[in-house]
Amino acid sequence: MYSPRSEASLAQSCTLQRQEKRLQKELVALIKEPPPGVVIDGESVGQSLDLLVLSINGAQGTIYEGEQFQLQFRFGPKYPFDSPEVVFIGTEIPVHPHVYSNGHICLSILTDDWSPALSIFSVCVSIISMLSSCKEKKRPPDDSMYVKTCSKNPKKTKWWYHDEEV
Amino acid sequence: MRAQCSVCQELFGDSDVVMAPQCGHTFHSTCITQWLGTKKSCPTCRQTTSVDKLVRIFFDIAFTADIDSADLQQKMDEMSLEFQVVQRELREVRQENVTLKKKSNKYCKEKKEAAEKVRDSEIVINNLQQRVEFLNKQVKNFGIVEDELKTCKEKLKLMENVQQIVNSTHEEVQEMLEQYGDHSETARSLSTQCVILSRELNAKVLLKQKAEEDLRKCRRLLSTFRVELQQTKKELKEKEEQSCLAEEDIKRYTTENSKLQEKLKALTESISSPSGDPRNSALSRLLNESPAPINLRMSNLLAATPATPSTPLVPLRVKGANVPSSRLILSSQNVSNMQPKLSNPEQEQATGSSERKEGRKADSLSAPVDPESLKFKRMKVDPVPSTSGYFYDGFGGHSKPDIYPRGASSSSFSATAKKKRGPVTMKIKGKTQTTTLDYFYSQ
Repeated sequence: MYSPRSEASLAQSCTLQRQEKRLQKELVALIKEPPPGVVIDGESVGQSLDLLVLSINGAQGTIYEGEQFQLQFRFGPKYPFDSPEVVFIGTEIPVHPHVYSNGHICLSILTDDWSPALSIFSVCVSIISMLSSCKEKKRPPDDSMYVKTCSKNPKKTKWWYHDEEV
Repeated sequence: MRAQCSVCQELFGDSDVVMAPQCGHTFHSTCITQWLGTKKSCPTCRQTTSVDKLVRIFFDIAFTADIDSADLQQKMDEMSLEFQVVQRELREVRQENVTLKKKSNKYCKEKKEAAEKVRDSEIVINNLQQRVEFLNKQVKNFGIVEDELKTCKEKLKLMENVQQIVNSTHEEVQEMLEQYGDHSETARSLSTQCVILSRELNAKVLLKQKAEEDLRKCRRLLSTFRVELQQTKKELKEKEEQSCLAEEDIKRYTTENSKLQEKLKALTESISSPSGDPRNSALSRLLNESPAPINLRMSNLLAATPATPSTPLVPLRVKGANVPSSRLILSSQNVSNMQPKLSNPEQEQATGSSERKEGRKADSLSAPVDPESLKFKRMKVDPVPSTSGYFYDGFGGHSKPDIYPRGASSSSFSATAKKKRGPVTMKIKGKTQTTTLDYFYSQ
């Protein structure tokens, strides 16, 4: 049998298996009961465990109402001890002071404040709440410069979480 | 028990080791220790902590016969998860199977093609092997030919040496022999012999060339002789034909001669009568001077043959160029003798006159010959008139108006008759009368 999973299982110990189990469990739970405003394509979820693409609808009563954004999760081998890589993808990127035009999100729990107790569910809720709490559609002040200089992976960016309000 | 580890989100089992930092949140010992390796804080409440501060938690699990619904839930979750995993794997495997089938089909095709290619290549290899065998054979043949060539070259060298020996001088040959063999006397003698032989060979070659040239000349001569022989044969044939004609002529002449003689006799008898009338004489004259028979004239004209230088009379005849070939053949022994015979008959006198005329022409043409021949004639002619008692000037025979026969001997009569006819015949008659005609014919 040829699959990345089997290779991983053979190579790693039971801890890794447990991590994978957790991811599986999370996905099942997500499909079964997604957070409000989040749409999951069940078919696409089953394709790969490493990559997950969600659709987030702008919550009612907010400035993003009626809009839909694509959110992409990429899980590293150390998940959940390491945070997932979360970015907006596609043509629709929400205009928000903490979201850069290339889709990178400035959110503390995605890097420094990550905890294994957090999950895809909790991240989704955080992002939705972040969008919902915004009152003005505005790009971050250093957007153009950041987009030019940043690396592809947002986790490699040293973030300054200066705005606690939003 | 429905407590779970917030890190791995699994329910605590009976045998799991559960630990908690001082804040009191419970985790699997492996999960919390791994997390504390990256960050010294509680995953749930972020309170700072460390591995030393972890405390193990023991649960006193109540032993119940009832099936724990939580356990069942967990088991169900696990099973569903596993089922999902297996389903995914199955999908993958199916896909793989399809691709593998395609691949296997492709490989089968490729295999077939390869087999065909192999067959083709085997055929090609067979052909090539045959070619190689053929080439090997050819190579062997070439080897044989090369050997032959070597032997031939050796022979050629040998022959070249021989050629050198044949062409070179004595000293050179000696040198060569000394080079090849020992310095004994035999070598020297052999060399000398070689040189001598070569010289002789050269001489022979020259002789042969000369002989060939001679042979060529001889052949040329032979061809010319053959041509001449053919020519002479032709001439001989002509001559023979001419001789046949002449013989016929002779026969005719003899018959005519005999007739004439008879006539002559009759005439002489008539003349010898005592009366001696002039009528007879006139008759004889008429007879004599009458035109000659046609056949005689013809024969005279036909004659055109080279003269024989045996007699003095001939030049005259030659100049006349009217002498018949038949006469020539007859006169091979003695022309002078023959001449009278032909001219003796009285009928021939006309011909004789004609001859004489031509003779005159010839005389005028060839001055040096004429006087002698004329003298000769006179010398010969003279005796006849003296015997007969008449003088003949040789040119005016015809002018004499009358001849009066004196009768007596028949011979004198005949002579006179001849005199009257013509000077040329006269001179000949002088001779002919001395020798009888009969005698000649018998010859």
